[in-house]
Amino acid sequence: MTPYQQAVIDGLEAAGIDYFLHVPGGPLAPIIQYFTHSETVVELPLAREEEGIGVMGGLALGGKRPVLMMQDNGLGNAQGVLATFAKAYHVPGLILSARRGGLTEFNSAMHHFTEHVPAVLAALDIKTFRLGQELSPAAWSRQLPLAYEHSLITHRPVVVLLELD
Amino acid sequence: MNRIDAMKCILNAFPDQPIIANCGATSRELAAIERSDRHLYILDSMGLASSVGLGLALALAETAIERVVVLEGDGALLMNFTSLASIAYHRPEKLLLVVLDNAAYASTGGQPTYTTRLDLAALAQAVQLRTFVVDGISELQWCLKDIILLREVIFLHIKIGPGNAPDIPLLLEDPAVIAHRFNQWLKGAALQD
Repeated sequence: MTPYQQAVIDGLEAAGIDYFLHVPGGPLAPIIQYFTHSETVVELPLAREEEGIGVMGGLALGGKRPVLMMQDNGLGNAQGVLATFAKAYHVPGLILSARRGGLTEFNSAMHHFTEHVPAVLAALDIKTFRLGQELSPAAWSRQLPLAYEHSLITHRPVVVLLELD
Repeated sequence: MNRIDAMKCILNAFPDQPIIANCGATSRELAAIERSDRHLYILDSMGLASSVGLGLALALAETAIERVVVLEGDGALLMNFTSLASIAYHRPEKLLLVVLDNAAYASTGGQPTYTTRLDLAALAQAVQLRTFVVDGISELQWCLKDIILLREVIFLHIKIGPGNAPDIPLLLEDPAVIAHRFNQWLKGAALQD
């Protein structure tokens, strides 16, 4: 567990989430493992990012405080319904997306999508925040609850791009 | 049995429960039967109704709402097929997943779907969902009487005829308004004892 992975956990707990939805991702593994054993947050594995947007929406419509975590290449699978469901129906929800394609990337195809994630989200008019390691872990923990509240007060999905490595 | 006849039976069986409807003709015909705040019409996002239903059924587990009804098409379920696996894995006991199977993409010109060769009910049974199959009105009515008494996630496979109902108006409401009306209704219904 790195300090930044721990900061994500601290930030989500401070945000008062009650459902932790996730699609697998290497940088996310310790965070997923943590919530698997949580006694206060329901951990919900999903098979694909697209359905995650729908399940998160259903939970939010039902009064819950879900968060959905995925790698940023998974946003490619989710972008259609992110626009035509979550954004169009004003369904709030926080999507944490770990960046791939950086200096430690080992996959030679990944960057063809991940390099364009910020531009894709901007084109879809999806509110996006970035947390990089020029900020302290404590700052990450403080900003995640604010990102969640931003989603609630703007009645929109919010994506936070996490630079975990 | 056509789509509208099947949906009328379901509305009668669940007159005060939330209903989430697939895009295209399913949502339009449902709204034409009755434009209700308890309906969440998914105007695009083909296949997502079952995922939204999964989330909503989990969220409402401890509320007065007894059933979350999802009206999917066969093509829509095939487009988001992992949803069937996720529903089977998480088993939200209030979810009723109805698939109105006409073996065609009726909203886009009637192209055949895989269900001309594949049996969706068998696939649902393969992932251990309690499954019912009907292909007639009276059979559907009897089946719904049984389903109302059950407290578990259910897959209801309804075989319907091809085509869409004639002269059904487009559904051109702002999705944000649809969701707001649904959410307001839900808050009232879920808070009732």
